[in-house]
Amino acid sequence: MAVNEPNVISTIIGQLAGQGYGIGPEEYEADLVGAGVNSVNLVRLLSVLEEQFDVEFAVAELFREPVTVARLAAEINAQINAQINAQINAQIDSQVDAQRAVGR
Amino acid sequence: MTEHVGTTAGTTAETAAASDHGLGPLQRAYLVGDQDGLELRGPARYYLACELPVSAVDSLQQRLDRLVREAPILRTRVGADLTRTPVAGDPVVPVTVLDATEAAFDTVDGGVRDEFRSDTLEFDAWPQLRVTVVRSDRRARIHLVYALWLMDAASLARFLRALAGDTDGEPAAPVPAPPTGRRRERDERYWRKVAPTLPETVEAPLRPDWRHAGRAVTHRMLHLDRPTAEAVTRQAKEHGLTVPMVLLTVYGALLGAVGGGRPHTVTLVRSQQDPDAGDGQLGNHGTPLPVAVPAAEGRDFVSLAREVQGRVLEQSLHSSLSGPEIARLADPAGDRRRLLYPFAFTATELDTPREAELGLLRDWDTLHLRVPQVLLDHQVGVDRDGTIRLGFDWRTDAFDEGFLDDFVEQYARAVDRLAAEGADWTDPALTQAPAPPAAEPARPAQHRGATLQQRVLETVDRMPEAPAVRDGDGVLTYAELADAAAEVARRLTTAGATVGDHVAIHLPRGRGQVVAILGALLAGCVYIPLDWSLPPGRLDRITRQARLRFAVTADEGSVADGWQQRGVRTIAVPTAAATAAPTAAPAAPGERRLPDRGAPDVAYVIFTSGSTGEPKGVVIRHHAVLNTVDAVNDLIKLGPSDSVLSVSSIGFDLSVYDIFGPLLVGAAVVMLPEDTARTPSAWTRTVTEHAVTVWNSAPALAALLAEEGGALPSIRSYLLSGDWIPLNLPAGLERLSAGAEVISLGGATEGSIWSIHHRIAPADRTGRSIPYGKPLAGQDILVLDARRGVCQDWHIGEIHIAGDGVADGYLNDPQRTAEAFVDDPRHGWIYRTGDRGRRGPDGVVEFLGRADTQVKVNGYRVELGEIEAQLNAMDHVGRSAACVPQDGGGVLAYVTLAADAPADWRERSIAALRDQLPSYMVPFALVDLDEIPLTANGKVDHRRLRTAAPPPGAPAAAAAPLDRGPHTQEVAACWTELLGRPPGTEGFFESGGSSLDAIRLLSMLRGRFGYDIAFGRFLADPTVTGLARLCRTGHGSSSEAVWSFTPRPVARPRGRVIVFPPVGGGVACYAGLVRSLPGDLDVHLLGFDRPFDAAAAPTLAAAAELCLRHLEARIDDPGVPCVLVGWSFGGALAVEAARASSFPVSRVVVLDTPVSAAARHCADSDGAMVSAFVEDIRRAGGVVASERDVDTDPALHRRFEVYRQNMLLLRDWQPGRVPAPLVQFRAGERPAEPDPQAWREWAPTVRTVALTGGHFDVFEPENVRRVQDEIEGGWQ
Repeated sequence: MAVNEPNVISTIIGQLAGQGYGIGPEEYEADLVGAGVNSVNLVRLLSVLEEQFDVEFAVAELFREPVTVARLAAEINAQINAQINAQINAQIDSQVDAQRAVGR
Repeated sequence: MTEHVGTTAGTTAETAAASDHGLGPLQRAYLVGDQDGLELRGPARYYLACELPVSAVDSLQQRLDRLVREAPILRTRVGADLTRTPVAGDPVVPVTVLDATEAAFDTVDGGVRDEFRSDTLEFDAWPQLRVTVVRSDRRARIHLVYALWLMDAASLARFLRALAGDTDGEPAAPVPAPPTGRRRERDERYWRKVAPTLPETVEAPLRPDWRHAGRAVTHRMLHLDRPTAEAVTRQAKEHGLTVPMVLLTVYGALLGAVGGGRPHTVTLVRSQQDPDAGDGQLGNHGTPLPVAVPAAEGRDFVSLAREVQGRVLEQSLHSSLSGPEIARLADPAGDRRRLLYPFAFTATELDTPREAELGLLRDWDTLHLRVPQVLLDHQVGVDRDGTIRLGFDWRTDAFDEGFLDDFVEQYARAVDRLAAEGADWTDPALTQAPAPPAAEPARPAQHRGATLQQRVLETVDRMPEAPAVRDGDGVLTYAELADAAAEVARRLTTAGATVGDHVAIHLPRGRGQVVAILGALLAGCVYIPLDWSLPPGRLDRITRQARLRFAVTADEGSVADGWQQRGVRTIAVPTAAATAAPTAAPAAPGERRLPDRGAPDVAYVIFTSGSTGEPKGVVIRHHAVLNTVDAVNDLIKLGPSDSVLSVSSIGFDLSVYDIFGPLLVGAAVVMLPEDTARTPSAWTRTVTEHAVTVWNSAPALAALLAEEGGALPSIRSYLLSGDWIPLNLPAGLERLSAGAEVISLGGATEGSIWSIHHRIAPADRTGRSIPYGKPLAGQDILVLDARRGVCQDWHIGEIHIAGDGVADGYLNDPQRTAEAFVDDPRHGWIYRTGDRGRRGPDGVVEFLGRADTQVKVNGYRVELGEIEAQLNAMDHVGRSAACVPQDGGGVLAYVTLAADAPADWRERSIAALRDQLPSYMVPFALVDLDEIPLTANGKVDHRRLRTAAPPPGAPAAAAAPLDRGPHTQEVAACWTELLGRPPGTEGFFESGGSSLDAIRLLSMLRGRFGYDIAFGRFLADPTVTGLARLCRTGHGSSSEAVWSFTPRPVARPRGRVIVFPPVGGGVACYAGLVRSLPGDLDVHLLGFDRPFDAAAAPTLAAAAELCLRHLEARIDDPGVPCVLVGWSFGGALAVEAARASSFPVSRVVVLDTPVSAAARHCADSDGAMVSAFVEDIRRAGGVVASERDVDTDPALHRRFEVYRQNMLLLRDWQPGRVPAPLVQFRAGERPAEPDPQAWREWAPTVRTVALTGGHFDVFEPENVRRVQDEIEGGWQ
């Protein structure tokens, strides 16, 4: 799963563009609701992002603060990184276990 | 509903599969919401009138035809069993055009409106849409009414535009794809976590019968003009909020304030259709979702709205489940008839400019929205013209009158505050409604004396020879009382008591208590009255807390010893006073006076239950208690001729009034002896003996008095306080004492006995509860919010007591005093009662229960925390939770045990509790659990606690194998056919059935076997055994002996048919007859589920009266003329009911009913009775059972008991004359009454009609037709 930040951002921007909202790089820090994205489209955007990146948003938490393209991207990346780290740790653990088993 | 269901397994399953697909969650909710038995059931309808160009009228039919052709939903018919079938051929929804002159236009138009707003669409008919146009030369108005499952708001807009000729030709967007399995799984996981944390719906001022409120709705619309709408929109954007979410927050926060600032849940109807994606397929694509609105208190609007918006978005992201499915996750065992979140919110987008271009102009004022299972529906319509429309539609009869009009006003003001120039949405003050104008200040009290004892001595001087105390030993006059009290005072001072010392009064009931209390006061001391039966452990704690040094107590070794061991000096009451009247000559008034030693401000300290485990001593001043006693004496005009019975223990402050109320005015206090103080028969005896005029107690004790019965004509006033007053209690007391007034008093020990009063009027008995009332003179009752601001009318707050009665605080306990008492700059020294309440616009306060865990047990105030603290302090207990089950019996406690708990932990715990707590606080049972269930915020979850373990004595029903009775087999067959596997003991829904399947199941049972079972009744116990029972009795389980069933509600019935059960008590035999009766007759079927209590119905006439009483409580239009019908025994009941009926009876129809004594004779032996019963149920109900089954099957046995009872009632019946014409149907063969003339003796006119067949053939179709004709003849 090779995901990097520009990839995430371009997916978000692409989705929004499909819904008729053109968001330029200077607006990555702008509140999406303030930019006129209605709740139906927000739900659709989040739903697509969840499916695409296999993440799950804690939306109520997310929306305590203004939601921007940059925050969404950061949130997705954080979740992906956490998943990757978990996988790496699991691999290391299993290797350590294997070595221990050999050592005995 | 005559729809037949497929009769083979294959077709039914296929229809089910086909029909489920495509019905959206909201469509399902609307259709299911019209099922019988549901709360707030009713059709979901939308009515709208709209101006349109005259030129458009001619082509309307053509355009509508095209719409019907193109939109499958408009060609769909939904049957009574909710199967969807396309209407065959080229169906036409007709457009009716009514031409009117200009002058007649409004009349014609109004006629169409009225017709369309009444119920005009049959549930299972097609089309579910009516279109009528009223046209004159210059204008045209189109009227639409349709079932809401056809179209949502966006669909309606498209429909209207298409009718007006808007051929925008945009392609229909695809219907949203059904959610993927993965998404559903994920959403289920989400809701499983979230659903149990959803708070309950808001507690609004609903009328007591709101669950069955009529169908009338009230519609209000607010229209936010452009400047206001723009101001709101601008600020919303700045804060990252959408306009609908801003308004949902306004709605939710205002509802929250109504409910006392608690979080609550509303239903958000979310449209699945994307408004921006062009016009979609016509249909209703909504999904109802529960949304929790957090508590608004102390928060600013932006943070609140952000949280609401975040939750809505999050929940919308998990919307593959809808309201009912989520509710099931929240409470799998919940009652599915119950409304969970009946406050609804919908946001829609409007485009009136585009409609205006087409000449369409909606009439927003006359639109009529009816939604089942919703109390208040709020719609926000954001219009492209820059305005916002706010619709409010509510069930008119469900709410207190005026509440929602107020609510809409408050909503409008809240929006105005948000839209105001310079409004700061981040200022918490903005969410605060301005305080209402201050209520009238407390009425000043007249202070008529400084101390209780001075006031009593004034009475002594005024009327020394009048009786002051009466008890079993006779009369103690005021002079004798004063002398004896002076002696107690002397003994106290001799013992070293000084002014202000605390003196315990610990004596058995009787005149000694009065003497001791007055003596302590005369000595300048503060009295602490203690119940005689308090356990030693509690006396120890009170001694420590009150730093007691003196106790006036009985001269009994053990009690006095106990006090001395506590280091307390004991003083005895002079025996002459304690036993009989002294024989010595009375002292001259002057001698009675002690040297004036002065007096403290404090009169007494009364100990109450404290939540931390330590009792709290409430410190009351003389002027505070005098204020209350004088106010109540004035209220009931207590005078020298009165006698007040002292029912309560002196440990409770009702006794303060019992003693000083009379002693201040020269009346007498009547004391009960200790050993019979809790015996109702002793109360009655004492009341009669001493001609008691005033009764003062908790409602529970008064109820016991009422149950004791008899006549107590001397009582003129009943004072009830300390707990909920059962609505029927006042009437019961008036039966005891004709003309007596019943006064509800309320307050707290901390407010000097009482602070609020209400004289109970007959009208109160049909209200929600007996009103708490208005403040007593000199006191004030404040309903305050969390910031101690006065709540708006209708809004729930905490009741505070202000004014003269407020206690100083708790004795030697500054911390708990600070928690409960406040010196408020606006309200003065006030006491927080912990009671929740609301004030109505008339100033009357309503009591709504506790804000904490304090409960009342038989009127005694109990802090559950005190019991828990005692339990938790035991070594073998981990945690504990106490509760008071609703069915009474006192306190029940749950505990978790330490691993090393001794085997006899239960006995040990109870013994320890008995040493520490008054008996009413000791749990009647202790239940051990693995863990105490907690709510999300860490409090004991009482809802789960109740289901966690059955209280002892109510063992959980063992999983019994299914009985193989005929009904079970019939039900199981249909069940298996629908769900594909045979039923076990589990519920229908756990087996995977949906509510649609349930309706289908009932439809099958009706179609195949004739069982008419209301959906709601099935939901009460959706198992195969529950359903079999319903089939057997035609009725759901009930603990009432008498039940009734209304097969179909009728709004304005032409007549009413009341059908009485035959000897078996069931009504299944009447199914065919009832079905054949026309729809404008209101039919009530009565049945008996179990025998009457022997005392309740010793005769057949009394049984008939019980039936009438049952109906009177359920019929709200009693003027409708009735025909009373009954078969066999039921005919005798009908005749007796006609004699006693308060309803007008136009005819009595008896079906083969015996009336002569010979015909009513029956064998009294059990054996003969059982075999007759077995024969009866076989022939009347087709149930085959053996005589042994009657013994072993509990249901059958109960039915047999009903049968036996009814046979005997019939045998012993003494007929009387019937005041209405009677129609007698006689069986052609072996009629039950052999003498055809026998009935002539009992009715003014008797017509005899013969039926074919015998007694059990009465309900053969051709007979039913004759019976039906005679019933209908009752109104001609």
